[in-house]
Amino acid sequence: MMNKDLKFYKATKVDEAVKLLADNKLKLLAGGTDFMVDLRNEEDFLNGYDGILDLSHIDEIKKIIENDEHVEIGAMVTHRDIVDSDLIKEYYPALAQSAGAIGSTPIRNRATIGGNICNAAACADTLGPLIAFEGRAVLKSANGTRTMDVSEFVKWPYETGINEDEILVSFILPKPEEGAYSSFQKIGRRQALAITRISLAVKAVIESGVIKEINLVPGSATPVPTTFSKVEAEIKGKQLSEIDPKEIGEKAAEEMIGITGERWSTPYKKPALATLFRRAIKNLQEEVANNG
Amino acid sequence: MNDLKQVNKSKKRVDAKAKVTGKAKFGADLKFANMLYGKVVRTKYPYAKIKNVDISKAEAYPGVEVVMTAKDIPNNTFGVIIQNQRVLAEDEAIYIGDGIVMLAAESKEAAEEAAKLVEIEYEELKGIHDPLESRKPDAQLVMEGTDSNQVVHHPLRKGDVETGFAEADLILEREYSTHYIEHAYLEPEAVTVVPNERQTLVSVYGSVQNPYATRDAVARVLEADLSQVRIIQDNMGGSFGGKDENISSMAARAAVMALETDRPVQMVNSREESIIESYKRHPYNLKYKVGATKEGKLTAMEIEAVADSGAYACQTPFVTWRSVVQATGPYEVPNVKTDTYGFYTNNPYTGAMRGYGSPPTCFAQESLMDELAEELGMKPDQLREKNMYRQGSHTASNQKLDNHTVSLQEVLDKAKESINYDKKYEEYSKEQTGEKKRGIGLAISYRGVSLGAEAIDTTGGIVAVQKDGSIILYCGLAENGQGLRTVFSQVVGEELGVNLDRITYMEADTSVAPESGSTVASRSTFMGGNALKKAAKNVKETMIEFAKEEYGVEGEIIFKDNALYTDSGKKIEDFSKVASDAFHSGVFLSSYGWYKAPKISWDEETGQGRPYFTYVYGCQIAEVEVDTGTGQVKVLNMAAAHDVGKAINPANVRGQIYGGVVMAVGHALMEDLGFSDGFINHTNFDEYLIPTAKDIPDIDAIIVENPDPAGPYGAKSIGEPTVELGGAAINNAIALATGERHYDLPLNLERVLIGRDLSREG
Ligand SMILES: Cc1cc2nc3c(=O)[nH]c(=O)nc-3n(C[C@H](O)[C@H](O)[C@H](O)COP(=O)(O)OP(=O)(O)OC[C@H]3O[C@@H](n4cnc5c(N)ncnc54)[C@H](O)[C@@H]3O)c2cc1C
Repeated sequence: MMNKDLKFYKATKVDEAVKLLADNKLKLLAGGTDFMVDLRNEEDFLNGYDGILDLSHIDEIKKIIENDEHVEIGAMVTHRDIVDSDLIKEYYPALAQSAGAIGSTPIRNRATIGGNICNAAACADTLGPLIAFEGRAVLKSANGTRTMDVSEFVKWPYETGINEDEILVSFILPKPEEGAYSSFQKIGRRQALAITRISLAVKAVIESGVIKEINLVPGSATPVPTTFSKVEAEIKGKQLSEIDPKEIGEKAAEEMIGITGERWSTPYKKPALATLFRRAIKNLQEEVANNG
Repeated sequence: MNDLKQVNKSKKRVDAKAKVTGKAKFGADLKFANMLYGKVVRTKYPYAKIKNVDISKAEAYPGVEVVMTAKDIPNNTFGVIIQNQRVLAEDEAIYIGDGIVMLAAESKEAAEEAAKLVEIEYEELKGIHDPLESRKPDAQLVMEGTDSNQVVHHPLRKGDVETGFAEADLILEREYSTHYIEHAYLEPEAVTVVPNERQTLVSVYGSVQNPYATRDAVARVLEADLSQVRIIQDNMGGSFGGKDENISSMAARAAVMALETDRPVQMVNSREESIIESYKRHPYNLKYKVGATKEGKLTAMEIEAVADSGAYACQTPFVTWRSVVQATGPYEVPNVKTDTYGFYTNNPYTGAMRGYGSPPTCFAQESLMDELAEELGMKPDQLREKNMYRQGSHTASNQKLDNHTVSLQEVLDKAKESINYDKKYEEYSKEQTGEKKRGIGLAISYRGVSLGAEAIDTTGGIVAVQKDGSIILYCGLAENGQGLRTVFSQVVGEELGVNLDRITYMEADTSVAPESGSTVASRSTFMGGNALKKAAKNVKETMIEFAKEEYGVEGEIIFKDNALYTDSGKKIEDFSKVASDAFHSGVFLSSYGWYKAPKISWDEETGQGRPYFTYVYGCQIAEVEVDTGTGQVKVLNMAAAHDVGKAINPANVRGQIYGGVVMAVGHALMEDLGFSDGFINHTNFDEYLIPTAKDIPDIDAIIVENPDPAGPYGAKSIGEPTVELGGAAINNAIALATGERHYDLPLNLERVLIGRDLSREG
């Protein structure tokens, strides 16, 4: 049963929140869409905590801000905000697509990108795109601010590099270069409210037909979404049109098995991941060809 | 008949407003003074000896009023057909949902905490989890006091299959399997039992699908008279066949505790408790052998169907019986040998679920017909047209279909036309270049209306005209969300010329309404409609007689628009005025109507006879898109044509068709209990997936009407036929799209991409 002595705090400023965190051991609450499920399912979810700190009234971390060099997405930005943002759609299409693929309308209206990453499930849909776009997480505590690559931030399923006195306040994404492309694909068991069986986020920079940069990050394929560096190395610097998408698909599947070993789900994930890679490359080839 | 005012109209549901405004009360909304909250402690293992139960800590927990075990129950067994379901397990737990201890406390929280303090010592045993294992002669026995695990065997023999197969140019043998299906009603089970209320020992309120079945069970468990047990149905948040035995056991438990404490006891399941304890649709293993001439004429069919009954008999004998009658599909087959079995296992018990024994056989047999057509080089619809029942055909049970319109051709034609079948079939049969491939597949069926030879088939109703002309209806059949209140009100409103706002259909109350059988088998419109129509007719005759005398009118009297008219159209009086005058003259304005279904017959040894008095016919055609790179299947369109005899309420009929199609999409593509070795791993809707709004295809619901001579206004059935066709139609569409046939459900990502299912559990 839930400890009835827990305190419920509500902050309206980050400064106020980090101060509360410095003095108390508090569980953070954003949109609550993972929080509430865990609270019901896990007996000891709030064991050891003095209370709950609700972040949902801190307006300063609900914004998407464009600077010269980068875009900053507040941790309390909802998936709905991301889907609706013209800026995100233009600069980071894969992120917008991943947010649009989350849950259902009511979930997207509540759930935040910060919560998605801090919850750190292998199937967290915005995680792959944030890694692919080389995003950094901004963490604040009463002692100051630090940043971390999103790819470093998530350590293991449901485990991140955040300290108990810290709040994730935003993500910083570099602005897309000339010739940047991105895409996100997701396979679920149904058309909505579907946990990702397997997904793929891709970000590429193409310069006169050559792959100058490529980040390939599958979701639900490995314990923690990670760039598939072998496949990336294979195609980086090559002429895009000369790449055989099918071969890349197969190599990606091998890379996955290299990380996870054969698991119960491998017989499905192997061909499915190969499909996603194959399609991503093929679509990229077509898109680039169309753009002349 | 042409001038219908209420019937055959899409009248607004009489209970719609209460439901959409939240005024309608459901089982868990009820509150009684001094009420306790009940809770059940269930087994940890699917099969285990219960070595010791220690309830002392639970009893001592603050707020706990009572903790009980099987020993405290007057009579621990009940059942609709065979009485071997236990209210609580005593010496051993035989499936994962078995309850062992029950308790009641001042608050839900106290009940939950106390439940955790119950200490049970188990000896885990190796159970049987496959009916193909449990059927073996040397298999260990699931049920005490039996000499084999067989629950039932229904044979059917017609002609001689050996001769039939000898005449065949082509013989196909295929095996199919279908899986557990959870009813997934939105509202989990809820019951409140009030002791010593209103002259009875116990009143039971709750989400009860079949009040009389629940009354039988509670009375049996309490060893009380039926008259002392009163069941009052609340609004239902869905049932689909699923709130029968599990509600009976919940009601029995609450009743025992209510009497023990002399306080009302409420029990409400969480979703997890509901999915773990409640019965499911039977999984089937089906072996089919079919022979045909090269012209496509069926010569013989041999079928073995094995259903998993789980730990209790529940409704296995009847569910499997329906499978027998539909196993050969709606086809003329001169030689048939069918053996349908049910076996006990240590799995979740299985019982009634919308479709009742037909969805598994329809899936197998209509998938087989498609493959046969392919092998013969025929179009799927042509093979069916060559063999399907027509007026005067004889069924596998040798019943001649001549007392109603056999409308397979009509439903097939209408569905085909709606979805543009011929053109799409041709197009999708050609080589498709992209990775997303389309297919179209059809399935047809015939289905017996009402119970058939399962049991006595009668229903009663009361029409009570009040002195202000408003009308109260009682019937033992239950509004489960299907729209029965509205349909019954329409039938009575039509008969008495009264608008629906003056008619109230009372909730089923076993101490008031006549026992009417269960609200199952798509029988209610037919049976209850006939009973209430009769009752309304009786009242009408009384009113005619009275009006003639009172107002000095002669000739025919017409009841319409809340008034009585002469045959020349002159208004005599308002209906309410006639009712008032009659009442004040001492006329009795209420009547019972009793309806007994037409005669049927069945030979248990040979499966020959007249299993049902009439049939409905349906055709569904699915158009799908298969992503051959990922295994994702999208059902794009579904045409569903169903002959309902007469649609009392066309909007309701369409609603049933939409709902049935969506359910079948779920069963076919995604629903999965995550079942392994007796355990259920998917215990909530995050893992037990059912279709979302986005998974629903465009559905063209086509109502076909060929009035049945015995039906009220010609009406027959619609609830269940809608859910039995989708599985095969989708399977056939996927086969056309991908060129690969599947024999097992569900057709999930893994099956479609790599040809087999995978499970975490190994
Ligand atoms: C029905 C349903 C469907 C779903 N579908 C999907 C889906 O398709 N794809 C998907 O990826 N996810 C899905 N989810 C999971 C969930 O919605 C997402 O992970 C969501 O983004 C979590 O955000 P939230 O704001 O609700 O976080 P919360 O639940 O409030 O918090 C999640 C965790 O993060 C911590 N946290 C939150 N914000 C911060 C912060 N600023 N700093 C530090 N810690 C923080 C919390 O303490 C908590 O541990 C689904 C959930 C549900 C209930």
